[in-house]
Amino acid sequence: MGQPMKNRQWIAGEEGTALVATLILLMAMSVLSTALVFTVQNEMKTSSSYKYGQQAFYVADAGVRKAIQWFGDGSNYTPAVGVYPDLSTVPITYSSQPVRLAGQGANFPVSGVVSSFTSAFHDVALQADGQNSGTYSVGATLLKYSPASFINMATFETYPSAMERWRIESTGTWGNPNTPLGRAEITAVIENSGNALFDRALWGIDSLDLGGTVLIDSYDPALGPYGGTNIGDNGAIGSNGAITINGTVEVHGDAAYGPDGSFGAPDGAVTGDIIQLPAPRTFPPIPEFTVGTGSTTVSNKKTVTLSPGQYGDINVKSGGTLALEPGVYYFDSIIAKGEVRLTGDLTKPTTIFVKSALDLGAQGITNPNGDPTRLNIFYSGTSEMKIHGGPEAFVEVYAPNAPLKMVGNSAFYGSFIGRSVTVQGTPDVHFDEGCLQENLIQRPFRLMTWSRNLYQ
Amino acid sequence: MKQTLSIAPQEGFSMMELLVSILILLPIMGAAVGVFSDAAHQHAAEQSSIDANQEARTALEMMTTEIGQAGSHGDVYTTLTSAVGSSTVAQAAAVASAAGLTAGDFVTVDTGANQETVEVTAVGTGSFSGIFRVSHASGTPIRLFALPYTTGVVTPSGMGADASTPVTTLRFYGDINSDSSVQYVEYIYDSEGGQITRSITPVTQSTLNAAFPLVRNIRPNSARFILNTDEREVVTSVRVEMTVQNGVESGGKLEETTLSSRILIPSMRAASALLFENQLHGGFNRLPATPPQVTQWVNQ
Repeated sequence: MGQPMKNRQWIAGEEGTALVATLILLMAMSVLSTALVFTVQNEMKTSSSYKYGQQAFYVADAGVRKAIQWFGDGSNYTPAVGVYPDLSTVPITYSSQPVRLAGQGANFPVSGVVSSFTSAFHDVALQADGQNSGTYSVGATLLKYSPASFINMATFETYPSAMERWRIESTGTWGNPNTPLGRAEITAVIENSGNALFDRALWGIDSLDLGGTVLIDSYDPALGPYGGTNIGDNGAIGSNGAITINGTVEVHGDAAYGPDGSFGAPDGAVTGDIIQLPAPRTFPPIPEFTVGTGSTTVSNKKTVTLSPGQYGDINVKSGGTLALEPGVYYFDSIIAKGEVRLTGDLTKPTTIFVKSALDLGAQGITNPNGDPTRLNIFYSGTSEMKIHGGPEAFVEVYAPNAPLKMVGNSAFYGSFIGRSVTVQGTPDVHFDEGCLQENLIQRPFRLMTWSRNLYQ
Repeated sequence: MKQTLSIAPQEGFSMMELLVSILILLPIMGAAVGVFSDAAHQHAAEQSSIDANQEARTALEMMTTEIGQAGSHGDVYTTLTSAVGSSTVAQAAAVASAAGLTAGDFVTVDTGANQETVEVTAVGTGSFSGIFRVSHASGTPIRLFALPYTTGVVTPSGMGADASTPVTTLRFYGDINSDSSVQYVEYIYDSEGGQITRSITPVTQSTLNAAFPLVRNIRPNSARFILNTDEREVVTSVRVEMTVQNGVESGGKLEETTLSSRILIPSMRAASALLFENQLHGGFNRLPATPPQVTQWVNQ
């Protein structure tokens, strides 16, 4: 009896199904809880990945912005001049290797620039707080190099430099750079450029008046002299104020008038676009310069040849000829009833600064070189300047303080800027498109295109 | 007998015992199943919500990346494969590859004294057309140093400067894939169907590619693209807004999440700055024109 009773007691403890049911329920709830935990974990991972990727992206973008700033600071970077043997390759090469800054294979010709760039852009840490930080590294590759001469605004002399195009590659990471939580890569292309001081056929800063019978067009000096098939439609005109056209005038180019100005012309007088400027264009002042003293008179049938230097007042009588050798001149005044012409080695440029009075209204100025970018006249006076055209009137004129009057029945070749500009008679003005490549006002490096390559 | 006696107490539960235990367990099990069912339902709702959010977030990320590259334009380098003579009319020039070139681009042909800038008037297979004023030998380098498009995001007609306009179809183009090929992209919000579809087509193609759903489960009338122009009528940023909802009710209503993102477009900002300088300083306007195919598709 004893043994069976013992068994009965042992089995009696297993009566009912509560334990089994509890276990089943517990198991089901555990499965559900585990699934929820995994779901939430996945969601958190995804959210974190997105967040870290975003942070890495902003870090990479900071690298691009910093690089644009670095290139734009002349104390960090200036283009290397005259060192690249072949400008047709992309990227530009030096010692048979692509020109690069920073990273493996840095190959920029100036070692100081390489080390400056490397220290500025290699594994640069951005600290958000004590727990969070990002790192960017930037490399740059030279894609284009175009030699250019820019104007030094302090002296109005030009200096050799270049317009360049660089590809910036910025990699940003968030967290430990060796095991980053997020990573992003951005590629941007930046360029420095130059705006030509002489960018249009005519610029009347305050106003531009065209009357008489005038044709304004353009030509490309690379294709030869003006005429035949070498006649273009880039003879643009402009003013920060009003443009007024009367008479028989044809402008084969755009006309841009000032934001507060006006435009008045017969229908069809302008073949290009008529644009209201978004803002007034600024014109740099001519720097102060020192002139000579005394006066020189060139009499009828006489020729006086001058070498570059400082002079006082020049008076060229009718029938007289003032001959100027290439170089830089500083005159107090020139009143010419006779001829003013360039002479000597005409491949060299000539720059003429005039302070108080300038009258070339009788016979103009003769530049047998045929290239207006080789003859610049900077007139800082405020009294009216007159100039006459001619078959060799290849010249760029800048008179930002004075009314400029273009007279006569002969053509002008080049570009003309005055406080106000008036054209009378029947002169044609042929804009030399080569003016767009010279006397450039340097602009800082800036963004051209931007793309996000990697984001994770 | 001895054996029978020992087994008899283990014959199982009586009917009464069973009924009582069922009676006791039934409400407990019922409650447990109810809790389990609610939890399962809640889990399904959460999962559905997470899926919808995830899909929307992934789509928004993609839209952010693509819209951010509107107006961008990649460089192209190639060479002439046969000589071209000087002419005052457009002629086709054979090149090693015309990939990435688009009508309206300005390419730099040659170097040194023979260098000239030629506007691309048409692009063929392995060739492009333009006016070459100077003769060039076979092998001459052709380089497109690309500038960005000012019309990279297409604006509705009448949208002016410094404006903000909501649209339900966003059209934009640029080097979206960062491979120098210009792609045209359309995001179309279908309010009735509760989705945003996406199509992407190279501008060298004649017909648009089919659109596919990018985001689903969007609440009716909740999604839009807001275009923002600057003073030169260039779209420099786009805001995307949408509210997604899951398919399972929770607490008697569909769970919703509103997502939005304001996307700055660096290439379009660069294009606007170049346009400003171009207007102010004259010279040649080298900003590329809108590709003809884009104009055609927009006007369809």
